[in-house]
Amino acid sequence: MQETGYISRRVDRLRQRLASMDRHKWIKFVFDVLIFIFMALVTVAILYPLLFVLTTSFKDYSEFLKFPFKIMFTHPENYATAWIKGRFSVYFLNSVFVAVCAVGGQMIMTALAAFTIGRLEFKGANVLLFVMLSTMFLTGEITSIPMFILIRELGFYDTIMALIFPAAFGAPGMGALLASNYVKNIPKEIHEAAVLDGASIPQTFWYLDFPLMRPILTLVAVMCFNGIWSDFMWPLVALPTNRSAWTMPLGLITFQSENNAQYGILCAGLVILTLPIVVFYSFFSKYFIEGVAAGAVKG
Amino acid sequence: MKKIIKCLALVLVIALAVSIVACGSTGRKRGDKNTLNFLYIWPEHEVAMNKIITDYMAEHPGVTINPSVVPHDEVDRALQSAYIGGTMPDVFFYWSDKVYKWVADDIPYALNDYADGWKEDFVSDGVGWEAGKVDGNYYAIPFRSTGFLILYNKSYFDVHPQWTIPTTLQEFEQLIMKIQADEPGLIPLGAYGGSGGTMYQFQTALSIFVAICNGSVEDPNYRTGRLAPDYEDDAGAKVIDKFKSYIDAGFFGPNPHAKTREDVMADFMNGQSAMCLFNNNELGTLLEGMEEGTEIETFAIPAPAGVDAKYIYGTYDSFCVANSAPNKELAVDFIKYLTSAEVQKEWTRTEKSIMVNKEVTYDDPVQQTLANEMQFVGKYDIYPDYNSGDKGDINFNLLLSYLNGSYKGNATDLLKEMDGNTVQAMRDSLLNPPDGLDWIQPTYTKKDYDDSWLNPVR
Amino acid sequence: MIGIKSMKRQANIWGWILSIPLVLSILTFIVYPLTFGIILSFTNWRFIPTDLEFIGFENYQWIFREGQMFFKGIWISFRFAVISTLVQTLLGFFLAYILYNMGRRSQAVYKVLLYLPVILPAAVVSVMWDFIYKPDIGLIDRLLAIVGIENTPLWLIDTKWQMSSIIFTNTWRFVGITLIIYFVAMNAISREIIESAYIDGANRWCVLWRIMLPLTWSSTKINILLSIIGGMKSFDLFYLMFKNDPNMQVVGLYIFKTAFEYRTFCRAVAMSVLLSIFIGGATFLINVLMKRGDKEV
Repeated sequence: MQETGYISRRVDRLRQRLASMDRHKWIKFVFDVLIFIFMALVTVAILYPLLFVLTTSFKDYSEFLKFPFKIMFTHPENYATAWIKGRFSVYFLNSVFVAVCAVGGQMIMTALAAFTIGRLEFKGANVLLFVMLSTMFLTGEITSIPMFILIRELGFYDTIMALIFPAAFGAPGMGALLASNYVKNIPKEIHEAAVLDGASIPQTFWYLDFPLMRPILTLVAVMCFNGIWSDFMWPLVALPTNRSAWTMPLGLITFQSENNAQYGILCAGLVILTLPIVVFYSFFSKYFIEGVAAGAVKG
Repeated sequence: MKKIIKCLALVLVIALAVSIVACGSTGRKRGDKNTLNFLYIWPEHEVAMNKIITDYMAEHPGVTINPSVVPHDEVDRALQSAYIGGTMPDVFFYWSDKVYKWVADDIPYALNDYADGWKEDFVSDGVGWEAGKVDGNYYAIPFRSTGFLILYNKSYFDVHPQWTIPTTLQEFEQLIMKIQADEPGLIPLGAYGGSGGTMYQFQTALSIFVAICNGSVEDPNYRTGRLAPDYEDDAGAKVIDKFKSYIDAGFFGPNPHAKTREDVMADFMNGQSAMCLFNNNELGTLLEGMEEGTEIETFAIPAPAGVDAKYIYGTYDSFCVANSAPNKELAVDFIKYLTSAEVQKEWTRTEKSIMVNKEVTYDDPVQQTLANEMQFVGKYDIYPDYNSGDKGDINFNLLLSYLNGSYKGNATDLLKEMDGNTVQAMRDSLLNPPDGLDWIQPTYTKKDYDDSWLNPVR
Repeated sequence: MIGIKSMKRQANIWGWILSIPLVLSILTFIVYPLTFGIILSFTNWRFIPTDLEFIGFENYQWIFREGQMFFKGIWISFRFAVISTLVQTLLGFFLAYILYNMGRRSQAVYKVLLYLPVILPAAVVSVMWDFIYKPDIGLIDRLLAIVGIENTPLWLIDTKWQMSSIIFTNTWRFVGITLIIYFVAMNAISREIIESAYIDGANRWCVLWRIMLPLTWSSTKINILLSIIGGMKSFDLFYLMFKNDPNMQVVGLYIFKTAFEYRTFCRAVAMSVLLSIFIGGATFLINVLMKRGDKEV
């Protein structure tokens, strides 16, 4: 009795509000509701495919055919099968290893780049920046064949170093631009004070700028990690036969062609590959989003 | 924060050091005579292959074989990248009929010296070896054969005794028409279009029957596919028109262009098609999906009356030895092991493929029939010895446009345009180094024949 | 940085020293591939060590003479890039505005949710959507079956629907980026302008077109530029979904095939050079065209 009273009171209040609205507010109200529905639909459209994959990963083929939309957890062993059959343990470790090395290397490269271009402002800095940015126009193919030859000469071909070497030591690109702008905003007085206190330049770099650049470096680290984790064209081309050095995207592609009709296992594989990055994202979403925004604004 | 940076830097340095050391020790050092790098394309048979490798290594102590597997649609890229990077496997898989691609760059090792004696172990007197012959040298040793045959659902044929298994092309066409009359709505023969689709095997079959009839199969250069086209003889145009009439008359069901391999499989499994054109290696999967007790039998595409031949589209899955292999004797010995009777018998027992060793017999009657018919695989096929680059795709698009009616011109115009593209590719010295290739003038004597069977159906 | 002259000199020296890794990296990973690539495009090298011949512009001549698939590929890429950009930018714009008008908490939630597809690896997106588009058993056909639509076209094979399908997937994946860029730009506009517009009697729709659009013009430029360049270079999705389809050979895929399937690398590099020039030109053109819209507030 109490409940219906509560609801009917709310309904009455709503009715009163609606009755007292003039035409303008009425339209606005309807509009708001429609927009809300639209937004909800869009979000569902964005997220539902992922949920579908997730629910399918727990079914086997016949269950999937009969109950495509039901949520059931009847076959969690799909994950074990995918992990073992798809050799994901190897690929996962490789991906992590390459990504960590790449991020470590890139952070140092970007920090150095930002420091030399942004702070020391020596001649030719802008040229370097321009060169790094123009790589945006270059497609993967134009660089990959000469890179092959380089990697081959270094003896890295078909090994995991072929992935680590370009990723860790490659030119920083967009990250350098962002970081150097950021560095320019660090007030000069801090440096002058440090120098007057007897610090040499590398010391100012190490103890002063590097820690101060922490936010932008985290940003660069996150973007770099995502790029390396997802990269599949270069590993595709550089690791033709050495399956023990493959990374997860490559593993997934082969997995798909081998398991074409086993949708449950295929979806389990997809979830395994996606989960780490999604978890990472849920903690660091701020950085992912900021990265895009910052890049866009400066660009 | 500083600590994290320091740790990361340390990790990086260690990783670098470890990797440089590691990549020195893993992978085979060039010139190591007792290691073999082996590439094959069947992830689904990895277990069986690993057993073979382990057995071989047990019988030959001191020898190590490093296998790697890639899916079949990645093998080109994998071999290509390996070649560029200098890590070409010593023994690698390739399809016999396409091995010319690698011969142009002198990659595979010619195996003529080993042919004597070894060839006799193979079915049909080693016809599979001929498939891998380029410029007079043998480059590819067959391991198993893949062939497409027409499978038919016996339950339908038992119900309709007037449906007889055809022995000639004309009977085949009549069978299809009977199926269409007696069971409208049933797909007579399931085949699919699209690049690499099974439907086009009928076009090839018709061309080959023409070649047998007019005697061009006897031209020494027939197999290269570079015999200069003769536009006075309209047989080529007739083949295309006849093939088109098959599609238009519904031989392959409604809208076969849109069907995929899975669709054809599903149709046959669900009883929606009376026959289907399928790959012998998929037989196991097909049987699993059908109802218990359904019997499937098979026959090959028959030639017109009076011509003693059948057409089976197929190829030999073979292995080649790379010129860069440090120990070619070991490589050849391993391949000999792979093609030996015991290994082949064991393989077919577990993996159900049709093998090339003549001692292999098959328990399953369907497999035995398949094996019997397999002798026609590659018998009259053309194995082009030139790279066609992207002209292959362009020509396929032209053919498609003709088949769906949007091409402006008749079949002869289409042929001329396609041949024009082909010869452009042939002459391209980058595709066919070093100087490109060209048409070869035919030297066979043309035979007269009754070409009434070439008329379009309906 | 430092006012004292000797310090300045020391700064310069250290500048040179500390920038060595950077310069080395640029030389190795940018300058070397680029120049070597351009040189290669003038040869007919096939990776046989001793066989390098200079053939001048012959590769380029071939492209213009016989390389119709290359231009077809550019056309397909271009169509894809343009339509995709239009859809994505418009959708992103509207969604950003909707988000802008929501409460703080909803904003935070939706931002994170809608950006999620962007971070997914390309392999995951392609395999997932290949699965979803599967005939009869994929998600799309299932949903349509519930509503009663039975004879659905083959999304990835029917030439009428292929392009739309992949544009849908691409938009699904990247609308988060356009959304965020627009959102950040809208937030950067000072509230006073918006408030005064409301006071003057504008409704939200009016504010969208008269105020938001002009003031976020630079973001529009960025969005369009990023989308078009990304679309023209697009390779990942196409490789995984349309590798063998003759009608959807975008230029990136065609170049890849030329290098690794037909094995004519130098031609592939020549094509890449042409493509890069094309993309550079398109970028320049877009910049110029959109400068006219730049207004000061």
